Amino acid sequence: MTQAITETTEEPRIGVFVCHCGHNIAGTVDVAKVAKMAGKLPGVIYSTDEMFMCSDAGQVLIKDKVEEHKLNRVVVASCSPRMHEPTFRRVVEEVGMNRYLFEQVNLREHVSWCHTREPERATEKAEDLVRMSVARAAKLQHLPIKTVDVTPVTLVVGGGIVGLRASLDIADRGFDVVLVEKDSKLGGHVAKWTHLFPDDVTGKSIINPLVKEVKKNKRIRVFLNSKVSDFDGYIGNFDVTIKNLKTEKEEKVEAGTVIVATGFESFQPEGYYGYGESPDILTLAELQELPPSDELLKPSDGKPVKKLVFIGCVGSREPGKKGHEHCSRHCCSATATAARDLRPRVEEALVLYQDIRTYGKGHEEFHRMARLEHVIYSKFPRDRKPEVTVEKGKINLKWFDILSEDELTIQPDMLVLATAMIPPDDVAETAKLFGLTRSADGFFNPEHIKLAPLTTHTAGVMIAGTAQAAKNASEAVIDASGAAAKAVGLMARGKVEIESTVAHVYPELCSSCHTCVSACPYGAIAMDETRDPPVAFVTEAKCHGCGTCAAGCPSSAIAMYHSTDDQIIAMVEAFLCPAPEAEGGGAV
Amino acid sequence: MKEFAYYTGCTTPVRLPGYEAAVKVVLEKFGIILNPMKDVNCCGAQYVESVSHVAFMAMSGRILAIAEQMGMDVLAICGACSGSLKMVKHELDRDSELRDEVNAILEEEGLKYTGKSKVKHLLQVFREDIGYNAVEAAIIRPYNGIRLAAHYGCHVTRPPEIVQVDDPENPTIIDRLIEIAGGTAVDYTGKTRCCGGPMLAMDEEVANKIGIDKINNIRAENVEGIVTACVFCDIQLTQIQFGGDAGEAEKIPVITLPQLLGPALGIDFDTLGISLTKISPQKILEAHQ
Amino acid sequence: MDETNEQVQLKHTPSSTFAKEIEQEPGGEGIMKCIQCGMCTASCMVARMTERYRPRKLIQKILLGKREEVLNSELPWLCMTCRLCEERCQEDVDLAEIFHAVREVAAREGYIPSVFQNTIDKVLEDGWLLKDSYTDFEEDDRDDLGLETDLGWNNEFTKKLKKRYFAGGDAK
Repeated sequence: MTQAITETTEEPRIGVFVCHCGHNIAGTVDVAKVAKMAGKLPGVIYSTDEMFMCSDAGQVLIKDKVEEHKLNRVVVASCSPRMHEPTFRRVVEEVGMNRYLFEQVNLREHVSWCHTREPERATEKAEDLVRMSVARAAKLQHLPIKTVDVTPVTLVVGGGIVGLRASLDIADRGFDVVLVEKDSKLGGHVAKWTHLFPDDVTGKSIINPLVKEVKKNKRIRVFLNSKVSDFDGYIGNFDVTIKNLKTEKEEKVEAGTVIVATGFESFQPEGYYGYGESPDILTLAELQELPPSDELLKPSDGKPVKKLVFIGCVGSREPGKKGHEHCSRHCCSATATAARDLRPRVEEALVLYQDIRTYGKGHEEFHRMARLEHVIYSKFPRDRKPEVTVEKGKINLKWFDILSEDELTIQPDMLVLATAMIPPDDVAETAKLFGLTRSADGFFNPEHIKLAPLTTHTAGVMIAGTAQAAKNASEAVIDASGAAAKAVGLMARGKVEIESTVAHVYPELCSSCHTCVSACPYGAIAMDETRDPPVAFVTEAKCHGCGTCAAGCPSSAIAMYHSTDDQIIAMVEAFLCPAPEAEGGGAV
Repeated sequence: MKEFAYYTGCTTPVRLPGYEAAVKVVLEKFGIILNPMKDVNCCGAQYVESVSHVAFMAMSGRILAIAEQMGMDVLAICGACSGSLKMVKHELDRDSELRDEVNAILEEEGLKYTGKSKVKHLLQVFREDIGYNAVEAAIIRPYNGIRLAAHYGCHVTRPPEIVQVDDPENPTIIDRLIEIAGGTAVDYTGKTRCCGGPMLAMDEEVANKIGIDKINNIRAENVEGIVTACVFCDIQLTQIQFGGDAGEAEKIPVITLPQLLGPALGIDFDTLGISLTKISPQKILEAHQ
Repeated sequence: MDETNEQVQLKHTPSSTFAKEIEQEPGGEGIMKCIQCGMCTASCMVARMTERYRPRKLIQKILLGKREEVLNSELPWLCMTCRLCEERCQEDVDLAEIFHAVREVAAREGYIPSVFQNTIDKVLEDGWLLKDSYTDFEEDDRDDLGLETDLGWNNEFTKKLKKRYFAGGDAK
């Protein structure tokens, strides 16, 4: 067993506060009984039950009792630590106690809410949990609070609409930006689209003002034709190497925060619906990139298009096909507007669909308007998709309309495929570089889909726009401003606290096996090559305290602060063999 | 004293004269005089309506013009007629070209449509011109809680923006009058569904299925009678109980609203034509002593 | 149509002209509003009791331009005009009215179910529908009730209408 790092010399003087949480806990658990039992546990000086521990009254109670009884450990048995651990930690700090000497027991989510119908057994469980936590509390150690500085520079990866918007937002607030774009110009996809639906404005008219402003802004440094070739460091202190793809020159910059806005790629549907067999079969993205013209002309011979057909869900929503199972979100609305806008230029316009998802603000209206303009919508079944053959330059399309139950056919002059939004081909590289994980659709995973959609598990690195998931330009811009706000938040504070509940290596025990290095999902543990043999060391700012390294270490050379073996074993012992006092017996 | 031009439609005078008489006698009790319309024609519902829009407008338009000439509003007691007259009025009031075309033919007889005469269905008259309070005050021999199911009829209540009679999904006029007369208004599945009558022409089998479905839903609620406000519905709901699909179950008497209210108001059975009802309403009549 | 799907081998090319045609007819104005949600078919009592009638399907056939099939079919004549579908339609499509418009076009081109044709002929000739059913028995019943026995229906007007709107193929 490892030696405790800072062996506690003081006698534990533990205060136990059992919360009723109104009826939430007290309705099932006999909180008074639990508090009474806790009072008899070894090391407990004071034990009570209280209506709402998180309220002002509850907080004052803790402070008063800490001072009155000179408590040096506090256990609150209440709701989940996810609710109020920060609150109670702050409370004990206010009376001079280190926050890591506070312990919270979950009697709500783990007891009263899931065992509502068994109050007796729930109370028994509550007693067990409190007993375990009191035993652990006796072993808790004082841990230092650490902060790191945040470099007031944001690295923005990707110069499309999201990168541009985010850069401007950040520069606006007085921080510097380093914007890296792999292409030779800024503007991304939007700049290439001659038709933006609705209103038939060009992509350039929307993006050029942004590009201009970015170029003018003194706080934004733009690297074109460049990619990030190396990325190291931790939140507030990232070491970035930028490489120019043309000149191969490298430059190192420092950044405090990162926004990954690497965008998407439009799926090229080889093998779908005759794509590639005729120049008149194109993707919706390619349609949007056609040169502006009053007439809609066939790419093959320049003649006007008479029959225009769209097919939806191309390469999207295919269960079982990796990377193509997701819905690409923007296409139903884009197709409806494209069909409606182009309808007056053609004789017939058809949209062949699996489903119609015109969900957003004004989108349902596009759909209605398309139908009112006599765009014909025809639904095909999921398991029997339309068939396309190209013969002598003519496109032959046949399909089954599942609502009219008719076999239909047409020879479109132009066939537009609404293809999937997929991640760019270098997404794996980007993920590895920034330590990002990806979801099934291939795009980067946010930290939490509802509560933290723009941050990632790599602290300080944000994702925004289609890099995060398929969406349309308006939605992407929302992400841009959100991520910018998060970046600015960190930089404005100037310092960021890092958790002290991290891993710690005992160098004298380390056998240089490198197991921990391979095990760590965050790249937070590395070998100190300056020593011989090299020993492992932890970069605390990167460590998330998951414990994988400690579990994997064959030499037991790693301890987890705030989850030491000592503390955990104390809990197990307390569960299995309750102290005699707690069972009504004599002192040990 | 309110007066109406009384439009009976094609069917009531021949198939349900009791209904025609009962409406007259019951409304008279509330001070409403019904003036028979002379020299009128079929409203054009269903058949001409399907094949010539203008001819349909002209047929119903003429009836409205005659009422206008009489200086009165129209009371229609058949659902199909009231639906047609209201739909036609709605269109003629809005489409001047159509109105001109119809008036061009009416002119030949010295008639003119200007839209002055309104169209009301029997149920509207009860709710708007008589009022529930007046009905309540006039009940002298209430029923003792007999269970009755109301059938409103599609053309009576839909489309609501045009006919404006009652809530199309949850109509209550007949139910209220049943309660006022001392009966128990019973709700049942598919209350607002069609009786199937209009389907008889094209597909009798389907029409019967629809009707039997309704009867079965009503029967499931242990009802002692069905109260109607449209001659077609009344005939259909009566007839299918005699058909092959009806089975062995005891037939439920079908009776029109005024024929239900009449006895409770103290009106003589004979004047109400109740004896002409195909399925004996004995049970209903005995339910109030 | 009586043919099953397997038998229909001919493939149709969709076109918007038929829908445009119906849109121009009185009652047909709202046909483009249909989004094919199916509420109508779910509410329809006829669809419930027979497999062959599906209002949503019929509307889609019109929107696809299957003019021949629709005009020569008995399906548009199977709507009872109970209007439950109209009540429930979220896009406010008046199906009964649309089918009336389809029927009118069909009749103009010579397709009309015989029961309709016969009834129309009768009503235009007699001025009302039940002339042949009004016998002595019915007269007696009316008399007993104190009702007028001479029903006084006018048929001059309807005859006029027949000449004007139903003579041969130029009926409007």
